[in-house]
Amino acid sequence: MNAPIIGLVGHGVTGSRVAAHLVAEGLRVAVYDPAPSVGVRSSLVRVDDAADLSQCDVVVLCHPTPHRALAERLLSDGTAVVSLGDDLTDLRAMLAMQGTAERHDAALVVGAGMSPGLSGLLAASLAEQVHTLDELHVALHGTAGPACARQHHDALGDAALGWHDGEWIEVPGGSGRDLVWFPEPIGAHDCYRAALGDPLLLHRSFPQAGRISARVSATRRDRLTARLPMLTPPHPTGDLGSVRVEARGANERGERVTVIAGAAGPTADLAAAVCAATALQVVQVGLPAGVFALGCRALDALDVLHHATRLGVHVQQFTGVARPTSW
Amino acid sequence: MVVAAPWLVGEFTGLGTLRTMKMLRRAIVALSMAGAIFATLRMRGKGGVPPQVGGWREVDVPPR
Repeated sequence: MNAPIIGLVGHGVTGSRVAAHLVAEGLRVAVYDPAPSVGVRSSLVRVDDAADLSQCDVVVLCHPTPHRALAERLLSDGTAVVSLGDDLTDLRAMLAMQGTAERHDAALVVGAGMSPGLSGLLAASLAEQVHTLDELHVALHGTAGPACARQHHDALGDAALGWHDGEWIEVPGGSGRDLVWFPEPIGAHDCYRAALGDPLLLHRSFPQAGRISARVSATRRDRLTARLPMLTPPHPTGDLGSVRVEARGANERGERVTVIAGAAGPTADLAAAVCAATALQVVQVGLPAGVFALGCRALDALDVLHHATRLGVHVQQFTGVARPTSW
Repeated sequence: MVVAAPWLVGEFTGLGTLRTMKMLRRAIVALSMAGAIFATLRMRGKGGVPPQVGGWREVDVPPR
């Protein structure tokens, strides 16, 4: 039996790492990228049109957002899609494609990167450690490729989304400063609210959580220039990053408990490992038709997290006494 | 006898002095307000306290 074929759109900093993981797992990978920023290896098949990838078992979208139009086209051909995109507007549009996915009997997994993505997997892991889950708070630090850096820059200048006591709230990006301790070697960074997709996807996966927020680390210069074009070019290969998820709830006796998990490493490596693990899960286990986020029940989050750790994600848990923050 | 230039006298007497004082007062008020706003913004974020006990430890995620 032939190995499944995975299509990959976008062979940049993160996409090239996803391809390397998939090839190492013995899968065949077809790549569409008219201007790859990272050299395409000879073990990959290059195609001239993204539409050619509709013959693949799964197509992974790693190009700069928006992903909605291409995802819809591939879903219409009955091809499963995994999207790495983290743009809030794009995520909203893709979540609205449930009908399209069901009509064409195909699955779409959105936000399969570091945050959203790994954040959802960690939240699923933490949710198993509390009897009742009340709150989820995500913080992230670092960027993968240049497109990711631009996305974070824009997010800091837009209205941030949060789920607060049963309703969506929008607060100005760059507000809500909080000092967050990320896993080593990242350490402490001031984090602020931004237009991040985590609350949107986490609410879908964990509707029982009454409060969900997401923050991103930023400097004073980042906040000051958030509404302007980027003044300095982003790092071409990304930098070290981290994601930290805090879950609050109660144990069986009704006592308040807070559990915290995170991961740190090169941001592109973390995102690529999660994205590749998700694509592997879709190919090997399969998914019913519909739109899914990492952390939901249909996509076995702990299994995907296990695969991600096998691909290089080091999951860490905070073992001290968690102190209350202003969240 | 030294006679001050008319423009110089104008600065320190009558309307000129009033204008200077008003400008100085406005500058002080503007600086105070900027300081108060900055202090409010600085104070509103609660920051945090470094963890005193424990720390991060790597955990295994077993297969399902």
